[in-house]
Amino acid sequence: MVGFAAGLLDAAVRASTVFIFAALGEIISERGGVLNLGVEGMMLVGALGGFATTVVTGNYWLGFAAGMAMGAALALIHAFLCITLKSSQVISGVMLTLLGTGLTTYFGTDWVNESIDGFPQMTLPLVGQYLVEIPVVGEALFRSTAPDFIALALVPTVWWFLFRTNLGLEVISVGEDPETADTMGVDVFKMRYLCVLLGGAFAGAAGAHLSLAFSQLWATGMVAGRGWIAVALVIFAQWRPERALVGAYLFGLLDALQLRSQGIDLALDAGAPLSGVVNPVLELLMHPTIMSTYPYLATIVVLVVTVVRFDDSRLGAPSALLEPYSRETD
Amino acid sequence: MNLSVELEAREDVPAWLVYGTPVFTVVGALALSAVALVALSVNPVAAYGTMFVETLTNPFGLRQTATRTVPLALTGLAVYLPLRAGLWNVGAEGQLYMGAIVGTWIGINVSLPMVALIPLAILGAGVAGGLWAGIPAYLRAKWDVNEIITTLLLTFVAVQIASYLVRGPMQGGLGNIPGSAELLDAAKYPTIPVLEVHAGFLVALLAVAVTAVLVARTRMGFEVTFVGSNPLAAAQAGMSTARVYLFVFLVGGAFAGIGGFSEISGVQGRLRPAFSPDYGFTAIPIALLGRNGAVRVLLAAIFFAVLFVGGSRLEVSYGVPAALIDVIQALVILCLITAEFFKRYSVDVALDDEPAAADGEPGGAA
Amino acid sequence: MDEDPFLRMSGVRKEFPGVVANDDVDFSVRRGEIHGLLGENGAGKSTLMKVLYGLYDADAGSVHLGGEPLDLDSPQDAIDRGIGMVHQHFKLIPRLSVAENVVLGEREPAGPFRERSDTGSTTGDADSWLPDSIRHNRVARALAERFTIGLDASAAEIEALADDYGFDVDVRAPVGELDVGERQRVEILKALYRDVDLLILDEPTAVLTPAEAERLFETLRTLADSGISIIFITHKLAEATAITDRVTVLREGETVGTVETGSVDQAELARLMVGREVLFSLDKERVEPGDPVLDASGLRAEDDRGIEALSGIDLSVRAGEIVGIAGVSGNGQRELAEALAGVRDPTAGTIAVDGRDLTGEPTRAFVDGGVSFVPEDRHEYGCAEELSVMHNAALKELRDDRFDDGPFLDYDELERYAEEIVDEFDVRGVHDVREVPAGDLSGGNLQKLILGRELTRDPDLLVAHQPTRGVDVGAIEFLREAILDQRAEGTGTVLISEDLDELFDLSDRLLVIYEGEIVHETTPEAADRERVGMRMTGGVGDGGSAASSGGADADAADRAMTDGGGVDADGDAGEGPGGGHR
Repeated sequence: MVGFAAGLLDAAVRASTVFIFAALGEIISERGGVLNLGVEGMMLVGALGGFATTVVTGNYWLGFAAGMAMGAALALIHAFLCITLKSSQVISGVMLTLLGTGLTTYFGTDWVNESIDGFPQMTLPLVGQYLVEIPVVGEALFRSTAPDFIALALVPTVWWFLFRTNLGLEVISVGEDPETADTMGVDVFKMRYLCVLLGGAFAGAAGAHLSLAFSQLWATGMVAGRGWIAVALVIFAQWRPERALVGAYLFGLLDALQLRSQGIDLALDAGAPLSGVVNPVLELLMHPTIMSTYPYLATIVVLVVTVVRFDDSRLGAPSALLEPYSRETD
Repeated sequence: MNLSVELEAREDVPAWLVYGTPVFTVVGALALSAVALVALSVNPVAAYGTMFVETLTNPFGLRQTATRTVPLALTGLAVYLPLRAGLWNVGAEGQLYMGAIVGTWIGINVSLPMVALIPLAILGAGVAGGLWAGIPAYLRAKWDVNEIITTLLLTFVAVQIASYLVRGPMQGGLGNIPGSAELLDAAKYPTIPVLEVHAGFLVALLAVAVTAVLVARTRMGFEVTFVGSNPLAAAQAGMSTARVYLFVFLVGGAFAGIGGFSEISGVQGRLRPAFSPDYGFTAIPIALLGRNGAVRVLLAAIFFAVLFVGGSRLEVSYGVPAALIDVIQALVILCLITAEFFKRYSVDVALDDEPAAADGEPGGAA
Repeated sequence: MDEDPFLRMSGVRKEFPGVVANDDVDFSVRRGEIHGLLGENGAGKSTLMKVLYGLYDADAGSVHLGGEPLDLDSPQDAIDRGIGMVHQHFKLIPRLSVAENVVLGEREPAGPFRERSDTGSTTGDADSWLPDSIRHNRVARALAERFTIGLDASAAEIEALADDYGFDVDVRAPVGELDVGERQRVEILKALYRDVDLLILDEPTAVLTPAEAERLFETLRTLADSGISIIFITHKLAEATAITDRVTVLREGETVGTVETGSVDQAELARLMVGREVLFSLDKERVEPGDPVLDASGLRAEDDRGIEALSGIDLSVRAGEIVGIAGVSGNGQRELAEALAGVRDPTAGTIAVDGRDLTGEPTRAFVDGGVSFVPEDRHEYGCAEELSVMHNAALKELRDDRFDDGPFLDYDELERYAEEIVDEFDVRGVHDVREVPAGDLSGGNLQKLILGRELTRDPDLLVAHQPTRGVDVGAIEFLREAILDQRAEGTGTVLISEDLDELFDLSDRLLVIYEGEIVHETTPEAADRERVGMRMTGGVGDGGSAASSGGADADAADRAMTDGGGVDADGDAGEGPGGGHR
């Protein structure tokens, strides 16, 4: 049982890293006022770009950087369309996901059979060897790949950036009320570009992590909807990095449970009352395919609860999210 | 030297821009996609010839186009109607799946003559799609929950439900390959004589006509339009925005659901997992291109249908991955957005030689 | 004072699609003066100031500040040159604290890197444990400015500034929790924190009570005496004469003239503003009021934030009667208007229209029950700007049978209906009701369309909230006449307005609303304007009666009434004048 729990935890932590990267990036982008529905596409180009670069150069760090750059490149298009051309953020984002999916499928067939040596498991320097000794959680939390540790370190970093720096204050102001920010001398366009590009880079990192650390391979469509979950996660986390971490773990846990649900035997004894009704229901609820819907359903529930409890669907959302900014609107 | 770019909101849009926009959009998208073709050592001109000319000049290609138009037009309407009311239905794909599921179930399990079975299945599919869209609509109407997110999330749920069903309770007939049993013959759309296209095509045309009349000539259509333009003013005038929101999503979702069943009944014969090549997402640019009217939605749907059909041909003839279609679609949207921008603003790019404010003029290039 | 003006704007021109907002405008301000910029809504005052502040690029003309040419690309440039602006619609972010709002854009680095002393000047080394070489290093500074934030020291500085000028503000509080007067003070603090030489205030008293306005005027005097030049934008004649040293009048985008305030009177200023003799009174015939069309009792309602805005209102209106409701904006007028029109559900009390109890019914029941509503904000609530004039004209009547065409809507009939309204209500700029979008109409014409739509239905009850705000003078006259005509037809009207002249001209009965309650009832004939004004701010006036809410308001009442020698709640004679009179 302990072994099962430890294994589950390990899988959950590993699965959560993707979400951490992507959600943090999306938080920055949305705090700046720009919704990015192209995360899925950016993650895909990051995954393929990172993988291909690693195959060619043999260096997974280069690959990781390349993945980030490709995500940012796609995000640059999004930024240009939404900020400079003031187009609809929804349309642009969906378009970029479509583009990313199409491009990676189109160019990716050649790379499917390649293999690489990706990021190895490691422990933190100095203290790592002791931390992994902690029962149950030690291995899971403290033996991971470099990107996993980077993602974790990014959580307090992004938090500090948003809430304890001048740039972060400007980011928030631009997402709340760009006209006010502009009046105060904040460069709205520059800040929004920064936020979107960072979001894209983080999404690219998420994708690169998938192909270079988590799975160490490339398969068409390997992001498999995680980008959309990340978007949902941001709402779930009410645009706060520390809550995104919690959400990432939760969704990572669900991811891990899905694969292991066959090993869990929750059925009641056949003789127990109502077992005829309860058992099939449990079996249904634990079915991997059904379980894969839980992150989405959970997010909807959170969304509704937040709204109903606080009577304001935009309680947490940056007030100017989705609104393009133009100085001379009169 | 100073490069300055001045944007000025246009008062009137010159005619050449209005009519030229669709042309620029298509030409631009194709030109950009040509890069991808060249990258795979394919001659773009030849490839596009195959894609468009061949598709449209032979009867088989035309029939295929008409067939593809069915789900595209129906999901296009599913996005168009809520859009008219100011809402985004990003979940047409999910509504499509739910309609396919219920329609297929009826088409497999209910024994009735075709005259009754097909309408029943259509009804079931419509109700399923409508209800699936009704959930986010209700959440939006009652609690102002953002419908972009909810419709999107429910799409993934619907796809997973379908995946589960065809591997489990609804599995049948194909051994280990996931898929439902085949539809009863009575549940399959008959072929329209002369056109040689399945009857779903007529259903789609009917839906377009109904939507056009609904929006342009009924009170509900007036309310939908007004709510879409200013929900606050509409509410102040006694209109129920909740009612409008529910209406557009229920009807839109129903159309998408019918589109899903039509694809199964007219083309695929049984429900398979992931049977839709993202029709419901393609519906978004279709609705945008056609945002001024249901008939334009149909025209946009036909255009994208041509893309689909031509793209498959491309795969067959040149070994080019069909994913190129996705790329072209995305680029069409990209060019459309860009063209829209130029319709709204005139851009003046100037190089000026003097450094700014040498003599007190406010803003060197003002 | 030197003759060379501190600020000189010459020949400024600014155009938008379809309108020339500033046409060859000249404007200058001396050091240390309070200079009024007077004009009607749409005269070009805001535009001119936005040019000055760097938000807009002028199409032509030049600006000089302190003898130097002023070339601004952005508000940041304006701030750097010592120009500060207090906007009419506050530029504040509710979710952020006062300190964060004030400091936004300044990129104050954390403590060790600060270069401001506690007195707010930007030079002088504060105590710091960092060696100078690092502190002054450009790269280090750049990093510190971006990746740290010095809120603590800034907060202290802001508090000190506030004290200096007599403000009271909690710098850590989120701005969303402050009331209107407090928020305006934060706006002013923003400018003071940045060492302004020129301060622009855009319609600052629009959201203040008369008492708060007095306080503001004192503050402005103090600032001007300390050398700061002040531009005071307003469309209120009384204010312009009360506070300014000189006044420049703009009309329809052009400069009409600049005068010494002491040497003109209000009537002359009005003439400059409008260009002709303005008739300030209308003919009102006698009408016998009929049966009650509205009976509201014990009405309570909350505002959008869930705070009680109406605290038990009793109101009745009879057919053919106009009941005017006076009050400073923000005392529950909006909630009252919306409750009576059925747009907002009351939390307690009843509303009966024509004897039918409509409490809690959906808006549609009110509309169908003969209630017409002219909302305060015509753009946000009154019309759909992208849709045609016809769509907007038909908005409330389209459910009527006469527009039936089988199962469809008879658009031809709607077109005729719209044309009727456009004709009767002199809505200009409409060559085709189906093609012209409502957003293309000017303020006055749009308001005429809206009022036309509401009156043509022959309502039993008309609820009009600021029906003539932001409308040109010609249209104002028309609108008021239309309301009077409808009164003669038997419509009962609730007229909510900030314009006392309008209320006195049109009302049969006059009520004053303050903090969600009716605190005074009178008629235009019997009313004492000063008393009405005082009640609007919560003063009580009669010795010995129950204290109004809070001592601050009693003091305010004192100061507003210095001439009247009023007494406060304790029966003591009022303190000496708070100044501010010129």
